[in-house]
Amino acid sequence: MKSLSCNQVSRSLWRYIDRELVANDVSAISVHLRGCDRCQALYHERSREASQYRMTFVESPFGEHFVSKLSQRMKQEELGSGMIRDGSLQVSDLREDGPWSADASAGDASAGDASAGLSEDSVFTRRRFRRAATVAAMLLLIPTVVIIGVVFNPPRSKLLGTFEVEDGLVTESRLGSDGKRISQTVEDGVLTPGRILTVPQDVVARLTLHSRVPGENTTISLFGPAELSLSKGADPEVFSAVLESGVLEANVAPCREGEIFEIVTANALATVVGTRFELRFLDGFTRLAVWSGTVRFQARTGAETAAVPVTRESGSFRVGKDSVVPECDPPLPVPSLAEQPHEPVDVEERFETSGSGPEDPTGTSNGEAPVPSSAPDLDTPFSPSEAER
Amino acid sequence: MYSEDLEYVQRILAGESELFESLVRKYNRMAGAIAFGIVGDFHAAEDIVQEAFLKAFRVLHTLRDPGKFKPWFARLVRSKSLDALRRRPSHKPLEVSTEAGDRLQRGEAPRYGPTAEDDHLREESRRKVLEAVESLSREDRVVLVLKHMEGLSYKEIAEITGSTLSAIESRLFRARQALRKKLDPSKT
Repeated sequence: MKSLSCNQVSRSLWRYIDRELVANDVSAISVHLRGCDRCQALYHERSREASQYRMTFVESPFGEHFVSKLSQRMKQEELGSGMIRDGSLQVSDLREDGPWSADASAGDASAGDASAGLSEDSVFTRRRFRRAATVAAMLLLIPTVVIIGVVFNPPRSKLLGTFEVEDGLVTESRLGSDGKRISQTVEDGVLTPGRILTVPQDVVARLTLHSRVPGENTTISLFGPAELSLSKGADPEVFSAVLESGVLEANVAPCREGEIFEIVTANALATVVGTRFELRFLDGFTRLAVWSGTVRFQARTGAETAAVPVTRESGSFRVGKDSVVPECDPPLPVPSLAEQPHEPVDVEERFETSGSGPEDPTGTSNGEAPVPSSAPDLDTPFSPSEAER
Repeated sequence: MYSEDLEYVQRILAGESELFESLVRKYNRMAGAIAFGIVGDFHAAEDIVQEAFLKAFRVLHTLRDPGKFKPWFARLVRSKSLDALRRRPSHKPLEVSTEAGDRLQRGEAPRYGPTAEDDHLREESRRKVLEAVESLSREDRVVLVLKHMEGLSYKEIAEITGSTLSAIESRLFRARQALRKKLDPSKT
């Protein structure tokens, strides 16, 4: 692998953070960052900047709320145009010939003339006037009714998911227009943006965020005493919440392109960045490097295959004809978050044709069964976009 | 990506107008990023994007290649945003609606306790970033917002803005450098 100078790394750092580099360049920069305090500090600084900018736009007026507002407006407009189509009077009548034309004073004058002497023409004009006035009144009435409906029955907030409480109650709050909290104590309910959940001591609240993909819901456990504020712009695909205090455990469904899952505390930001890996097949060897998350890695020769999740803790694997057995000696070191986990965990496998190999397809014979990691890797730099997900 | 849009557009034109909501759901953030990037105001951007979607719905039949809804719609939003900018009588100050900001405007005291303080700090930080973003040139702002609000790749931003990859990278670099200078002058 080529070694890079600090200048080269510095020049490519934004592309590295923006996931715009190919796998080889990502690896080269990762190696450099691991051994260079100065570049590592710069990397963390730039990453913080990127998070700050992203968080700034999380509460934009766009997202599900915008969709429902626009849908409502489109329904209103379709209703109006439908009425005009069904009625006998066309919009063009109002614009060109009727008394609501640009020259309204002319219309008033003709009405005045009609009161003086009712000629056939003036009667016809008055009929047209009344018909146009009726249509105009209805056109004004409909939006008024809709506005009253919206004011007295505002559109419901978008649904993020639901929550349930084990052995107790939680306080659900929202901020009123006067800035004061409006709270209620509940056992379960629905999650909507902007809500605050306060979980008392020894109580656990289980939150489920609904996914568009069946069976891929994200779950969050909130262990009391804890308080979680859901951001006003949050939706299940772009989720952001502030952990004001307490302990939170999240089991996040695989993130797709454009999806975000972020939890913010007073001094940190935890973002799920998905699973990142590199797969190489060269000279008969398949080599898998995992930067974060879990990758299912299995032999495809033979009638049977066994799947083994690969994580930082998994160690290496040797793939036999029919199954996969963890070798686990020596186990790979597990980097702590405080260290630089820039070097990918390498897992090598060899396809054997002789059939001698796996003894224990369960992979537990040496007591070192791999443990899948569910914790998001907060500190690992990004890998190239083509290798993701 | 485009084949999905092709199907949506064809089905909408065939009478399934309710499917238009899928296009709204898919592209409202991108459109918001373009509009906000151009006009620098979330409220105005929201109105512009609404108008752009309504217009797109009305003139969808004029789209020559139904598979290219995304670039076509991006151009429509850009054009609407520039129109709005021209019609704006004078420079309007940035409107950033935040809870702490609203309380300050109402002349109310801030909430006390660590939560209120944290909220205030976060909202203050957001306001500062938005003010710094507003000071960027329109072109740089559009690229920055498409990157950080919508999370698009350089290639996607280049397609939307009609620029080259290297131009996008340069604009992003310049925009971020300017923001850093505004937000933390000691680090530049």
